[in-house]
Amino acid sequence: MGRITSTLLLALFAVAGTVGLTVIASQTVERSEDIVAQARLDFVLSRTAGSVERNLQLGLPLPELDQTKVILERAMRRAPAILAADVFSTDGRTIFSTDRGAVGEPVPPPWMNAIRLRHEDHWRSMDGADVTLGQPIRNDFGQIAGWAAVVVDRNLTQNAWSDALKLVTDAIPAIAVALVIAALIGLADPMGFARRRRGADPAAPLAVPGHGAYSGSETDHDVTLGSDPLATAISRAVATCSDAERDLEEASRRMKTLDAEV
Amino acid sequence: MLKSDGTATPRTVAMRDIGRAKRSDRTAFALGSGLSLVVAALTLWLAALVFHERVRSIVMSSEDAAQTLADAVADDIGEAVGYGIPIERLRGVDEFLARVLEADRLISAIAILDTAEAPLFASRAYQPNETQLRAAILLDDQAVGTVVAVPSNVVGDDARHELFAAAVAVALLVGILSAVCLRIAALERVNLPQARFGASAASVARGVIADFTPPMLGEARGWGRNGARLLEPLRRSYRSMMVLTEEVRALDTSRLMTQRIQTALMPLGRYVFDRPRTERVRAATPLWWPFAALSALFAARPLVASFAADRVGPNEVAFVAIGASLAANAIGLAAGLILARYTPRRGRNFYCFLGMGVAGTAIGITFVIRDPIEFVWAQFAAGLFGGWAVAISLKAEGAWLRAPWRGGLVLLAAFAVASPLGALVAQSVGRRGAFLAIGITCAVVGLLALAGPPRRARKNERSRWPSARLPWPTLLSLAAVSTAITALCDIALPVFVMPDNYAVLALMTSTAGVAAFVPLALPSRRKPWFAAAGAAGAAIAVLVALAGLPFLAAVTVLGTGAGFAIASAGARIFAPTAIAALFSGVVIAAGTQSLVATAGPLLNLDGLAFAAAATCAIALTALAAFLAAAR
Repeated sequence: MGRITSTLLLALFAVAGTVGLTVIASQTVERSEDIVAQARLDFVLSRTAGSVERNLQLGLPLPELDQTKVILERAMRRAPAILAADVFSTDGRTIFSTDRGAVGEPVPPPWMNAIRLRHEDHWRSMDGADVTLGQPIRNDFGQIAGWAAVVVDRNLTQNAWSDALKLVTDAIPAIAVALVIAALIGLADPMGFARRRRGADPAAPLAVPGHGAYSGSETDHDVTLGSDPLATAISRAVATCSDAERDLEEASRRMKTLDAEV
Repeated sequence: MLKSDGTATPRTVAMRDIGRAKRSDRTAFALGSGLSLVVAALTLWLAALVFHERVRSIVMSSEDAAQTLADAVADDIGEAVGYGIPIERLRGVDEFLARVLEADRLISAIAILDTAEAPLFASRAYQPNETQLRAAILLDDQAVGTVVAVPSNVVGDDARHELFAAAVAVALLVGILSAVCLRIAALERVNLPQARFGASAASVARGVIADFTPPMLGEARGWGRNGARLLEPLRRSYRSMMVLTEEVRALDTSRLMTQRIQTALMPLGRYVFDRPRTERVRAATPLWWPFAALSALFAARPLVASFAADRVGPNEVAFVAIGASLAANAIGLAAGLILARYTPRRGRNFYCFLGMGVAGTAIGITFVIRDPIEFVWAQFAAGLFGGWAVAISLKAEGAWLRAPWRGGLVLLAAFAVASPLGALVAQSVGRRGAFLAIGITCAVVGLLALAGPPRRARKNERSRWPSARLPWPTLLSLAAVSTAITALCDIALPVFVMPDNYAVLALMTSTAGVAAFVPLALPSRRKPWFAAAGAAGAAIAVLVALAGLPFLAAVTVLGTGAGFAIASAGARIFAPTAIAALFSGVVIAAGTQSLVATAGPLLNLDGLAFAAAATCAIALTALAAFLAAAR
């Protein structure tokens, strides 16, 4: 990696960071908007189911609670995102609906699948462009007498990436500043990649200019190959070798004397 | 930089001077910090200005939704009044209002006023002078009272906090990535054969007549050849003299000459003539691939515990699922490392590709997994094949020669980068989407293995596994740190403290990651007491978290402790004993969660307390072992 590559790498990280933050932030904001929309829908749904349950407590069976139509109409008025509101029986047949044509018809199969997989009574079903939220209607004995459901536009409850591109566009000044600063830092080459490539950096240990290979017969203790630490180490190594040679000769001489005596 | 073992003797200090490793460390640290500050300024500016209007719109939407809620409550009360019961005599209204408040966090207080604006019913948090949304209670189009709701800004405030946390986390991540990548690049610019030649020169200068193998190329080749010619006669003379010495000893049956023999050999006591290097250094495997692979594998860690818990639901079995998932991943990683030892040398690049591909598939398939048992198996497979691939690349020729950076930096950098990266991905695409994205990333990293690293094996290649001789204090410290990280960063934070709040989780883990590099900025990273200090730091971190002090302080202490322990182990962090210590820490933390789930309610304990106790116990044992070793 040279100066240009390291500059590109730093610029890439800086740009990826700012663009990434923009995408993350847009998703965070959209998720918060979704939480608000979801809370509103959940509340409307739970009040709708609660109102039907109160009427159920009067003793009439669910199909005979004509007041339910009014309750469903009121639910639609409370949350404009709601496309339709239904009450259906446990066997999946629509009893009341804001869509008159749906009354008496079986509910879509994904709704019944979602009911089977429900978590803590609440269920959610994706069906084409719509999302359906549901909740049980319970009688006095806690048994499920039917289900209340509201159908909403999927785009209003799902995170969309539509705004991310626009926000990235808004963030272009910040991205440009990040790019320029990172490029300047990279071109300044604080890690010294350019020097390393040329071999002039002290970290490239043996590149000591002006000195050739030392002679194997050289025994001068004070030989210096430059100020580089490695050159100093080589100089010391040569000195150590000559010391070792001398000590070996001395030890060998003494040992030969002992051998003669023995 | 060149020698990983032993304490900081003058020799190792000299070698560090030769490589300028500390200077590069500090330059990379300063560069990463500088870039992090620049990016932090820009991302905070983005969060504060560009997204300001969007956050305001969330607050307004919250107020609209709260108004809907007030209208609905007014309709319900109006319906009850319509049955003929006077509004002031309605029963159960307080409980009804409490239920409404509990079910919806868009309002912070609610009250029902009569026509004279006197409160008839009110929730406990209601204060008359707060900002209010109003809805009339109508009976035959006649107002008989008013519902007053105080909107809550909790969703807007949460969004604002998450934006700022994400901004800081992104800046820290950019800083860490820049510093690590540049440091790795600088490290790989070092010509290892030449550097090894320098180490040999320093060794000879100290009297250790080690191998003086010349570099294959470059100006130093001639120096090295001459050096080799200089050393060989010395070794030959030494061997001849030792043969003569043995003869004299053999003939000296009366042992009268023992003292004189010793005196004759005394001048040679400061030399070591017979320590040749065991292998020649040709080149080394690049570091970036194992770093990228481990970072991709570990990125899923902050998501595992919460995903496992949600598969089961909010009950005691969830703790068992958490423990099983984390332990399965750790055991899989350990098994993968063992498997790598018995993998043929030929075709390593393909094995790396295969391992990361299968690991990526196991992580990515989590996108569709709903069963907790399937998730445990997926985690085991991800650990097994991912650990196998990483270990193969680290075991390749010359892999351990960049010690201590080889092992230490790879693990430290992966620890620092992976968790915040995974959390930020989850913040942008959701948890299931993050598993899929991480799985794809693993597969891409596996594909890159086909293009280059690790190097292809040679016929006569001798690959080495790092020395397993790690002292007990270091091993215990690694176990303590691992227990604390798993308990705090992998379980407590994502599951209990900030569930689904991945931006703040990214901030916490990136802070811990930055803190983990602090030991590298110190003058020496391998002091004997470093490991014990790291274990003590980990224990303090968990205790701080238990005491209710800010989690940011806890993760900072924990990250520093982890950095100390990992830096202390250096290149031997992937030695079998160190791996066993690290993974036993994960299993201890995960196991305590499962145990406490069953016995905890009886003993009035929680999982973090139990993990804290385990961390403290291990840390104290490490300290005791350190003191015993020091004595």
